Amino acid sequence: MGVPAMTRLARVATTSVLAAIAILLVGAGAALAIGDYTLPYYSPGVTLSYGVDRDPRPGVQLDWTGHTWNDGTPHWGRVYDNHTGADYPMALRTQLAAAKGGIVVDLEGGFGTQEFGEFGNFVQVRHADGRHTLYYHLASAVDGGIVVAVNQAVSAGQWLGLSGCSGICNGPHLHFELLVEQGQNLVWVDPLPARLYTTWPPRVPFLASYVRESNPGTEVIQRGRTITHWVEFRNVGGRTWRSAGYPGRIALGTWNPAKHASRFRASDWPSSWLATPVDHAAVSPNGTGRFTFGLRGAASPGSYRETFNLISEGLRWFDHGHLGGYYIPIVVTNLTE
Amino acid sequence: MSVRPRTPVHNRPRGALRRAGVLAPLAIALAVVAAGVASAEPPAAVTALTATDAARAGVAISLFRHPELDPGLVEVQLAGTTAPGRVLAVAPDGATAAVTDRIDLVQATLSLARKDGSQLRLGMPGLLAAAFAPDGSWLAVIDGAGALWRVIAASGAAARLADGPFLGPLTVEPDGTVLLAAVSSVEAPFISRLVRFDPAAPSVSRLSEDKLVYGSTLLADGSIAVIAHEPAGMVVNLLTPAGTRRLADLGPGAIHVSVSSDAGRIAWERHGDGVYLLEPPTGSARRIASGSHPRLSTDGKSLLVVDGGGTVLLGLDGSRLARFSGHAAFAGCGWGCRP
Repeated sequence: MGVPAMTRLARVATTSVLAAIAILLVGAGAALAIGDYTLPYYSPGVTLSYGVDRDPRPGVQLDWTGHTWNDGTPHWGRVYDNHTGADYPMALRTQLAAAKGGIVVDLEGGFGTQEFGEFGNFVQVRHADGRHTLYYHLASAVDGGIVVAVNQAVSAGQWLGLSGCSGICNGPHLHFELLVEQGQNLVWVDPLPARLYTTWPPRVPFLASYVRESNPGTEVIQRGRTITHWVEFRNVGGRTWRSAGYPGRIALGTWNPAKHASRFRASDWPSSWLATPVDHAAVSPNGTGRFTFGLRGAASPGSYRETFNLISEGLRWFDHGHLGGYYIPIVVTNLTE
Repeated sequence: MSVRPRTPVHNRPRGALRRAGVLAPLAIALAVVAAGVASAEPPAAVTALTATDAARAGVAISLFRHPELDPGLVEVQLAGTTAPGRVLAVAPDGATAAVTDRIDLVQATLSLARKDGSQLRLGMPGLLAAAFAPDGSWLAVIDGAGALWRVIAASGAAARLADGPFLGPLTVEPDGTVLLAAVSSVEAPFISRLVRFDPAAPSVSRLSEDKLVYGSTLLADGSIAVIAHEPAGMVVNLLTPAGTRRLADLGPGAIHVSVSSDAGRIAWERHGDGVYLLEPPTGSARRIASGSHPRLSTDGKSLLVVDGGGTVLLGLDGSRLARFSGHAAFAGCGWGCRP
């Protein structure tokens, strides 16, 4: 739980009200298009405790669902007065990850992991789109609470450090903020209406980028025969890919529609839609994973294409919201051709 | 050669992302100093306890002076059987201490404990920091939401001065103005500006360009030592009428910085490593002891650290001069009282 609500008559000085309103209006436009940010942690059991109060008036709380509360009282799962971030209660020393790639511009790791009442440990990351993300209440650096350095580039999902309860914190949690640059200022934005900070546990930062494949052109398969194809993806997220274990093992499955029975299924496929798990037992972040599988010629000669995507089995398809599709052009020929 | 896309599962350009649910930003200009005006909240209820009452209720607080060790040293014994308590501030004459049952965000009790054992106890909407005025007649108090209060030491009468949010260094100047930090938010103060609040106006003015101020010390000559976090590490800047100059660069990992009133000595902690001392401008930093939360005496000739569950008085060479099982502080301390 974060800071409980308190009634305040005026949060902002009279002289700053007009500036704040102006920034509010400007910020509304700049706050769009944040779907490429991900949750800053991996633990599927972590859910939101308090979101951003989108109404700066003291005692008035506008939560992420659009509901307004006039009682100034904390509302679990929704909001408390003047809260500037999103709180995610989690166990001490839970791994925290960058919500998006960027540069670490500031951090503090000198306070104790549970040193209450001080300024607290944090990491601040600047992203290329002009936004900043803040990760607060981290564990002490000497306890491994921060594993990055100022000016270090981090990729989306990269491990930043461990959760703690340093600063104004009365229980281990992550206080996560998203801000956008407006001139010399940083302005809070609330991403919750865009479902960035969904409480859906499976939304974890699995990300991948295409590297190469055995045949980047068209696979020509004689009818009834099987050929071997492989494709490599780089793990650009923050979680290690594993070839075993459910839920969570990383595999290549048919896509568009998801999990359709493939007419090119070979005997080495685990199921009608699942071509193969990743070849390696583990692929660390920034490592490259290969997926090797057979393609058996379809019954009828002709030109086809089969579309695949990566999946963390039982959890989610990668990049679910904006898939481009990876497909293999296939020509099936008769044996005599 | 196929014409298939080569980036099937990575981040897509932001322009293609969902725009449903237009985001409503919280627009607080963080560089604009928050001030606020006095609120109309009623003063907190005050309970007066004699020494006998306090002992009977299990909340006795005793103050002891140790002039043989340091003229400003005050030992605060908390005999309470409830919460362990924390010393927030000690009056400059050492005759009154501000103690809380807990640093809290919602509700806390502020006890003004006098040398004769009597107390004033008042409920506060959370409590983060306190500091006495130089004449000891009132205290500046920051509540759990970061609002600034004035509490009269003799009566416990409380009045809200400004809404903040404020946090951190808290010093009442001789003219009644208050030095403190205006923060981006109490929970995530990644911006913390040193400001001067004038209750008479009321008004707030920024004093330094430092973005993240962790502490400040009002020096004997009227200048201010500003303890500020920078991405490259902790620094101490000196604010004088002639301008600002760098007094010391303590590097990364320095925390809980304490500056003597003549700025001749700076002590700090490296978490998990111990206590360091520097005598600027020519001295070099040296580790003098284990422990944490160093607090230099006013004359800079000794310091208190927390070590082994108690408070230890050290000489500048790290020698142990005395040990207190509970709390000890220097008279006049505010933010730096509270290890």
